[in-house]
Amino acid sequence: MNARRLTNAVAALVMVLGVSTAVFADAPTHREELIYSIVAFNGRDYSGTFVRQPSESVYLLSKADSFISARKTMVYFWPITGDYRLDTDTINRQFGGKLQIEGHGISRTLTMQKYTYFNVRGEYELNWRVAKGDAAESVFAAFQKSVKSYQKAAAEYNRAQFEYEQKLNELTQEIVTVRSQGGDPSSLLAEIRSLEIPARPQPLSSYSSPPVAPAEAFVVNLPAGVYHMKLINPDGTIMQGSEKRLVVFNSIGAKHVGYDVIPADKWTRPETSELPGAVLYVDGSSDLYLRPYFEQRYNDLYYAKLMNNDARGNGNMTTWVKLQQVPLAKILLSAGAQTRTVEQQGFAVQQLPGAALGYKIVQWTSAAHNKGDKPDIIAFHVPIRPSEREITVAALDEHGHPLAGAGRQIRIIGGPGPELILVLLSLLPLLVGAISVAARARRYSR
Amino acid sequence: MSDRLHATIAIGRRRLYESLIHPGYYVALTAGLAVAYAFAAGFVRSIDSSGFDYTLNPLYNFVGGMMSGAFGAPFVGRVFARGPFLFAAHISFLPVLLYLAMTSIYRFGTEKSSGAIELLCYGPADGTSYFLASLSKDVILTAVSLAAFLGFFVAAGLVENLAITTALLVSLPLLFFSALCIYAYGVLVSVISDGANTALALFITGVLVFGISLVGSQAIVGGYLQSLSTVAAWVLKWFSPFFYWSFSMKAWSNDQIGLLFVGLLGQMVLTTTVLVGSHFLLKAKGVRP
Repeated sequence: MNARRLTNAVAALVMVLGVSTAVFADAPTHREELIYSIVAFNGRDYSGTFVRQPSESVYLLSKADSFISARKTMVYFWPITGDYRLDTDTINRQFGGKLQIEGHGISRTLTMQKYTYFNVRGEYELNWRVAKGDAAESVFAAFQKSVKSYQKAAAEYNRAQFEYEQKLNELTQEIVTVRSQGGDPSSLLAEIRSLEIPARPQPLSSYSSPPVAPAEAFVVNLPAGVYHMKLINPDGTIMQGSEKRLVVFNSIGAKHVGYDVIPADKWTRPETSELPGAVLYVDGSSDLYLRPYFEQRYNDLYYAKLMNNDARGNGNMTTWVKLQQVPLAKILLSAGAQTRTVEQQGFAVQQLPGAALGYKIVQWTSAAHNKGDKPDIIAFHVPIRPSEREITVAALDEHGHPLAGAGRQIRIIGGPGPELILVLLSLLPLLVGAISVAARARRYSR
Repeated sequence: MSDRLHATIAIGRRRLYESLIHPGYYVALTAGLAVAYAFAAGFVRSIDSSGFDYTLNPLYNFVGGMMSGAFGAPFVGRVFARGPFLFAAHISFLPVLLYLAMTSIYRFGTEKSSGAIELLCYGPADGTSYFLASLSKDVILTAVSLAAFLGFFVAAGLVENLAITTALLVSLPLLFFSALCIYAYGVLVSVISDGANTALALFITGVLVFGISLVGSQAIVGGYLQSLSTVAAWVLKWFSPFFYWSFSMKAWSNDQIGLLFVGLLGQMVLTTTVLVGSHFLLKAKGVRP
């Protein structure tokens, strides 16, 4: 009887604990807040963030169109990723009115307008355009029209391709039958030859990033400075909690060249060399593959806040932002008295045969191209020999002129040198001190 | 030659001689060079096929981890992007700087307490020539030490195949002028304090406050304005030798050579102001404790 009671008590306890676990499940607290939704140009493309009500400042790049809208929505902290998120399913109300921006002798009252942004394909990767108002609608409509016509052409191509393959199969079977019966299939073969292979429609190539669906927002484009912004309701009152500091910042200095550094033995984990004039120290155990890119410097805190308004940054430091690969570049390598120009090439990563893990990087060949494969790495190959102590790297533009901030040194450290010399050198002052103290003692002992 | 200058040279020579026959300076310099060696050797052991990785060496892992936590990971990459010598120069110079500054302060205090300075001032020397002599000795030994560090880095560069970069060559004069300013503050605290211990305590507190203020201003923050007593830190920075050093280093890394010299000029103006202030204070207060 006692055992049964005990079992029941344990079962009850388990149930209570189970229920309490369910009751106290860790659900994040949702708070209704007035937020600013930001789609901002970040130097290389457009990125989105939102500014929570407690946040004091909004950050934007100068001399570029960015888009701000105010909305009421639910905000919650997601502890797994440690960031704030929006619950727009529960409430997502965008406010109209006007955005008033003042500061630096500028006073602007912006009304909402439709916008879209897109990147046009060109020789360089960065060709961002913004269309506003009716132009946004017409750009998007034109894009949709071209998408529809491409889809129609693709459907037509698929149908024609299916019919072509069906006809081809039928004729092939007929040829087999005729041949098996000892007949002459030449007319059928002629028919096969006369079949027209359907032409594949050209994919849309106008945009590297197509226009986004037009949305309404305040389009902000200001010179660098710190402004004060607030949302004015349609009745002329100021929206409570809408006043923020607007920090509009510039890039710092001219564009420079950074490098993706891909060591052959860790090709999936490329490093970067951002700092102009930096020295790249390597142990010489594997070749390097370099990819030069244009980079631009920004204030670290401002840029971090531009990308994510809740981010942290260092206001006294700058950060290098990768913009785009240097088009048609060449690399000048100098080792000792030898100087040579290296062209960009494709490379394939081949797994080593057998059970052992490993791979080798080989030059990508046209045979691979014919099979439809793509190169795993497109970069400049820099062979590293442990016997060499120093290699100088400089990126050249398409005309062979050196690019600004593109010089780097590669120093090959084969391992610690004869460090006893350094130990002795560091002890040298002690020796000098001992001699001088001893000399003094001797002098006074006389 | 004025009496003051003559007295400064005569006392300065004597002080320099005394420093050179005392083991303290040599021990401080050796400690600095040992630190420089540790950072040069540790750097070589932090290199793999893809470059510098501070986690590969325990010393760098410790230093890099701390710096990364306080200033962000890019800061660590930036400091060591050209090699170990820029960081090593600053860290290894610390023992020498502190030794020279603190021994001068201590001696000023003890000689003031014992009445030795007062006795000296009955002759052609005065309080100002006394502290200028002490400062001259520190300046000469600082220049010698920085030259010794540069020589060591050149040797380490040859032995370990590490680059002697412009950043290092720029940082050495900046360190020299920053040290000068710190010595000037040493003179000031010696003048305003009655005893050696008070002067030392004041000096250490001042260096810590300036140091913490600099570190605080460089740390990663979440907001537009840094929360740590921003106004106080803003006022304080104009009196801090570390601020002008940091200003010049930042200007150099941003290719703003003009601003580098502005920082250097600021450092010299601050040093001169502190020394002139010390002169007038000493004149008003006298050399008696």
